[in-house]
Amino acid sequence: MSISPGLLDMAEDFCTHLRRRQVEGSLATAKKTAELMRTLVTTQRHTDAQGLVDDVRAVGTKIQAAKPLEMAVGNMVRRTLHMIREESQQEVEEQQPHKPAVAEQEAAPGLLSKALRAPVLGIRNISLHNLLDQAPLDSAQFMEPPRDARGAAQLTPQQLFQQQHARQPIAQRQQAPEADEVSSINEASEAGGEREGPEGGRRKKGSVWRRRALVIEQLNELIDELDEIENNIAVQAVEHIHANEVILTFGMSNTTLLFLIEAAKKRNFQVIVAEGAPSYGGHQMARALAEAGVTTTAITDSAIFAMMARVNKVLVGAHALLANGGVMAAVGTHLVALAAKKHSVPFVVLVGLHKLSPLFPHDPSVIFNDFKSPADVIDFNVIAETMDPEDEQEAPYVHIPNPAFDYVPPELISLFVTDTGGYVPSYVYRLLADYGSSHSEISSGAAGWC
Amino acid sequence: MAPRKSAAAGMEPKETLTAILLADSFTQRFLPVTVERPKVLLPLVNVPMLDYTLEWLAANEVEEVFVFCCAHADMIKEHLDECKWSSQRTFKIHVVVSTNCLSAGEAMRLLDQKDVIKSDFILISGDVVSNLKIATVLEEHRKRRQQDKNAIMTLVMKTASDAGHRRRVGDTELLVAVDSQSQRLLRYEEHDGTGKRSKAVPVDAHYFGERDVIQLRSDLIDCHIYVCAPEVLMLFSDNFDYQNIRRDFVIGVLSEEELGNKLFLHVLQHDYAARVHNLRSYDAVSRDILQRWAFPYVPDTNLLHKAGPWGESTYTYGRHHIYKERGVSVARTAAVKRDTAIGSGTTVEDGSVIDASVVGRNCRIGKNVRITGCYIHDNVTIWDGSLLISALICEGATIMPDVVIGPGAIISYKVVIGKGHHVPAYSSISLCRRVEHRASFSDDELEYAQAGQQTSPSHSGSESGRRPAAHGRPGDLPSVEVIGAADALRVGAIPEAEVEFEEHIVGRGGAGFLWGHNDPHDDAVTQFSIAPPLIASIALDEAGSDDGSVITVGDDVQDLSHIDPEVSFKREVSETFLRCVKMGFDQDLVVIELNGLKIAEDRSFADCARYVFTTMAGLCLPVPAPHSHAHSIKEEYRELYNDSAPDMATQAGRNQLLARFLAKLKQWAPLLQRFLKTEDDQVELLLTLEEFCGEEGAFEWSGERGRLFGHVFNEVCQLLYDNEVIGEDPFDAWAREKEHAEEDERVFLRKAQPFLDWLRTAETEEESEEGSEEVEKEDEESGEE
Repeated sequence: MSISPGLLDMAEDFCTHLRRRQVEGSLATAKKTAELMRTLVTTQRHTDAQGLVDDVRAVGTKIQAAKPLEMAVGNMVRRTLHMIREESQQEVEEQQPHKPAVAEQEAAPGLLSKALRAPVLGIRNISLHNLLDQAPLDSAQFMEPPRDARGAAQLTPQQLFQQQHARQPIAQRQQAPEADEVSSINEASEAGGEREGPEGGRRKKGSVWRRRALVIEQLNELIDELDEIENNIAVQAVEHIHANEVILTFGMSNTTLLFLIEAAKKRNFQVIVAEGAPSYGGHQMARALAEAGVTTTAITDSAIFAMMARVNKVLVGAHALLANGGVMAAVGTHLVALAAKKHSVPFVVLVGLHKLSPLFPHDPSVIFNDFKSPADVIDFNVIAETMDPEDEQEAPYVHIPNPAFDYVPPELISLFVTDTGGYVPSYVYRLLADYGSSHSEISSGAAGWC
Repeated sequence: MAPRKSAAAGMEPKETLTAILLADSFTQRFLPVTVERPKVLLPLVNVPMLDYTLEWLAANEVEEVFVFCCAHADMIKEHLDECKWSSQRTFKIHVVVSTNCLSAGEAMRLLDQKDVIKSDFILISGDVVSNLKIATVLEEHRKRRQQDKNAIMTLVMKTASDAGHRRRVGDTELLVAVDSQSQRLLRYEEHDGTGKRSKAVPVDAHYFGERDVIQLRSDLIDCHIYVCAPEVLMLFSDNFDYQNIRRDFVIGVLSEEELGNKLFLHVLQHDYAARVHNLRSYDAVSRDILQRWAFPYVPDTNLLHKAGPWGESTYTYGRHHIYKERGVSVARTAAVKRDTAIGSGTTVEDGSVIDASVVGRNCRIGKNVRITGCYIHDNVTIWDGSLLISALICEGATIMPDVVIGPGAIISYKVVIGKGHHVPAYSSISLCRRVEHRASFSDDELEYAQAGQQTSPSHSGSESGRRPAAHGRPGDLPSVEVIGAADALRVGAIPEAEVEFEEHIVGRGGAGFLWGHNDPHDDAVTQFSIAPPLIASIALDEAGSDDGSVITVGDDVQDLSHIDPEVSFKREVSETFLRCVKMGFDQDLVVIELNGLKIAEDRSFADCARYVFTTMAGLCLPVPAPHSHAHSIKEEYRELYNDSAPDMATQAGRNQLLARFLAKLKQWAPLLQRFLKTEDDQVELLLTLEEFCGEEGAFEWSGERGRLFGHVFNEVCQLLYDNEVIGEDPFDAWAREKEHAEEDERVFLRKAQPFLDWLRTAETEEESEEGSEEVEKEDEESGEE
């Protein structure tokens, strides 16, 4: 089933907004992406998980390509994929007691290649330990769209049939708290399914993958979580900021601002704000802090090193958290981190886990920077006349790069404070596994999942 | 989507924001390229110019755009369909076609007739590249409109502090006068760069009736973005002779101030905006885009190329502003240097160097080719060993091996340049034949006036419409045979049809006709060429414009005009005096006349007296020689002057001059006395006399030959004393004042020393009741006569 034109339009609109820089900031982008994914899962009617996975991938690739730098897009798409797969996995598991998957695999006609690729098929619960080796199997299982081959086409109704029979007892057996929910959803879809007839009608449009509702549920949770993510970080503030400390922060970061304001409710401390040229977000930050009643000092970026000797802790926001535990943050952050290292000041990065990306900073297919207009750095008039000399070779030429981001390596970072608690950089890879970015998806190029 | 919603919620009573986009610039600067394609579809860094403007409008949440096309309307429509512009949901495009419009003014009148614009709108031409957020300008405009319905237009301008910058975009000089508080535009004056401009800029005194401060700025570049009220369209209809937006409309509205319409200015601080109105700015704006000034309108945001035969663009950014699309193949030994963009499907072979250039999609660049500062469109083939400098190579052209293309050359669509040929600088070659030869680059928008009612055939250039009927169309589209022959030559075959190409122009085996060759020494040619301007001429320009670019003046207007106020006052006084002399007015009448002048110019009595005196003295001499810096004496007063100059070398000559002077003095002494009321005034007169004799200050270069009086300074002092024009004390005060002056300032003091000495002795003698000396002296004087 192809993606509906309405949805394509929405995706296209979103892409345009990303390209025009009308949607800025990871959180806004993440929210929009999640909403788009929810719309997609709600409106696209697929008979199985695979169709949905294909659509999510297609749309995801498209929007990520619109702004490769905004990794929150990819992160949200990956989460969505992860949810669908988990549900689908659960579904398969529920069938297991009745028919072992291995047997089914071997019995299935035309699936030799799949069999070769899957020497071991463990039916285990997903855990941090087995997630990586299990992933290829997951995708292999999904790579049998019903319409690809005749054999496969026969498989789906067969599976569905088995599933039909298997479902009822499982729903009864379920011990999980959401058991009621699941069964009610199942009943709802069953009602729809029964009208279609038991076998032949299964592949018609009307019959929708049953667990879709669960995915939507999870997406709603994700969106709620995104709304609360900054607050979730902020509530930990009192644990990290102590009385009479001197905190240094850099540029403007919403997360950091909320964090500091939250801490200021209980603690008395000082904040030094570096202005963060050339965007000078620090000015805004200093003003906001002062308005909130925090003792604030604003300094130029060049004074950071000198000031560092008096600082107890550095708190900064970040644009993306990379798989190796490094971060991408506003340009100049690396300098702050080095100064902090030199003075042995803890360097704490506040980052919501929507920014957690499975990409590594050495990935050649991703450009980890955004070069903005030189107008932020220098007046156009100043440079205009040097730009067009007659003799190109002897031309006075001033190159004015204006990168937006810095990469800060993990060894300079003391701690991440995320919405789920504090982590050290070396733990990031485990977080990744928890958030469903399996290895196969990481290693597959720019878009990261295709 | 949410940002749109929130923006809409921010200004709730928002009316639909509309824009008028003129997809035709009604000029000929891009010939011969525009014979075959409309200018707005020319790729600028591999994206049609029109898309920059449309995208900018869309990004600024404009909801409805009226695209006005005239020439090549079908191609523009096709492009809009192809690139999905027409199918946008939140951005409606209406194409308005009129093939016989000759100017922007006619386009506006047509749109007014259609009655589609109901609210404030943005007027823009289809070749503007900008990253300005128009919202602030709109807000300003609306706020002004609420207060004053007559605030009909806001012009967006950008600062360009030095002349090199202006020259860089091939712009003409612009002088505007603005009310510095309200940013109201008072005056808009363009110099087309030809002809000498006067240093003096007269400023109407009435500007100061309503305000204390105005700014005169010559450091602005018009960005050709206008926020207009619907009344603007009506004004175009009312004034059916308005053609050009700036030259006719803006200047027209400003000159008809009594109608109450007001224009305002918005000066950009940080944002980028520029119009591609000639090949010079084509180069400059391309360079700006490559260097990211127009961010986010840079290749690697892939914002603009929506569709078309090649699909979305896939540029990535590399260090030193090198942009490459996916599928570009550059040989290991080839070098791509800074400020370069290369489209997908292009191959660059061994040993080639590309520097500061834009190369389109699917081009082939052979071995050891050097390309510097060139703009190469799609599907161009350049064979081994060629050298291209600052040239424009249009789509489908083929350059055979070992060709040299000089700076400023234009190789139009599908032209083939034969092997080893040398294309001279600033020449343009096209497959179209030029209908009639004419000085190609000299024309300008100025030509409107000549453009008659002639209608232009839709298939030829827009630009054609504007030329006088006698010239016909600029060129016909190449015939099928010509294209066939060119295609055959391209692959080295023998053409079926016999077409005689100009071999001396395109080389053996080439295909194309000379459109125009331009003299590289002609300033007008190099000024608008795609090749960078010559450094020498920039330096010259800078030297010429070293005066401060922004002058804020308070009460003293005259400082602005380079005319010395003293000189003009002097002229006034002397003309009044001469008139009185000529008409033989009674002295009382002369006093009234001069008093009136004194009050009008807010001067002192001494000021009047000084110039009356010097004019009077001048009458003893021949008519002042006319000089460039001086006003010439009107014909009617010439007869009042003496016809010969006395020979100052001889005593007789000196006596002659003194006799004449005495005669005049005797006549006018009462007048002078009436003006020289105080001692200070009399000292002032002495100082003036000094200046007059030294030909300094207001008398420098005046041609009055006051120097002649310098020879008899002592005697003149004596006469002034004798005739009671200047008393003893002022002489004394003057001498004391001068005693401590610099050596060269005391020249006249020394000359007058005999008289001063006499005066002192006379004083003492007077005290001893002896006045004979004076009488004796007087006798001496008369004896000399």
